[in-house]
Amino acid sequence: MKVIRVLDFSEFPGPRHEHIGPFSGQRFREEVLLPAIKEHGINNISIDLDGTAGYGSSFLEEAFGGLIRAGVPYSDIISLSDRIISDEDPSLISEVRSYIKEEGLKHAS
Amino acid sequence: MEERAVSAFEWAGWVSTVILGLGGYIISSLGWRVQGRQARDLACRQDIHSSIDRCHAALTVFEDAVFSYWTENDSPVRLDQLLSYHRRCIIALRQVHKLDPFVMPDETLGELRKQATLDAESAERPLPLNSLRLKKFSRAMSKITEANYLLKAW
Repeated sequence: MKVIRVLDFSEFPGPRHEHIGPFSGQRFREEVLLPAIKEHGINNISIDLDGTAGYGSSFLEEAFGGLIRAGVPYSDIISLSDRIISDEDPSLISEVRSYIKEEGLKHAS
Repeated sequence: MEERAVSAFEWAGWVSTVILGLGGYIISSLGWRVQGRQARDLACRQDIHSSIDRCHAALTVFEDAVFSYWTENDSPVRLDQLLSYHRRCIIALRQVHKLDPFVMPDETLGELRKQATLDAESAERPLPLNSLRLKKFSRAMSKITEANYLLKAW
């Protein structure tokens, strides 16, 4: 199981898009998440959110909700959310799930 | 004959002294134990109440900052402050949870962060006080502040 630590990406996760600020959710998705999914398969990765200074909701929505917009199947992303590690703040996991579900509903309709 | 009667009397005296002594010791021990338990319970309750106070204070600071950020033209509050205040709320709630366990309101905490920070860098501000974002934020905040685990009880 490949563990992706967001802390290795940045201690200060940024905004939604890179043009708004550095270490954005968009960049995390494009440079870390999608390549890892491609290399290891989505069922073989987990994501560790601990250790950073905190997450703005835009980062979370763009990184995880954005996976659906990038064409990753909803069922795969929901199962990925079960492998998110967030001991410091478990509310991040439920927030990420809510973005995945919202985006999934948008794509289904 | 007289000697034997005195001895029996003395013996009875010793026995009753020992019984009374033991009884007194047991009763005192029980009393001390009950008093100790009550003192511990009281201290624990006071700790819980102090934690609840700190939690309400953290939630109030967060709420004020969010309203300032979203409704004031020249708010001094920055986005990273909102994240930091939100984290303090979580830590304060965790402290209460540690002393008096309850189910952590993770979904509501996530909703608070969402309404406070989603697209905060790019969204148009200031918002009117009756905006949907602020209404949703207040609703989530009320869910936590009015929850049973933040009510003091003796």
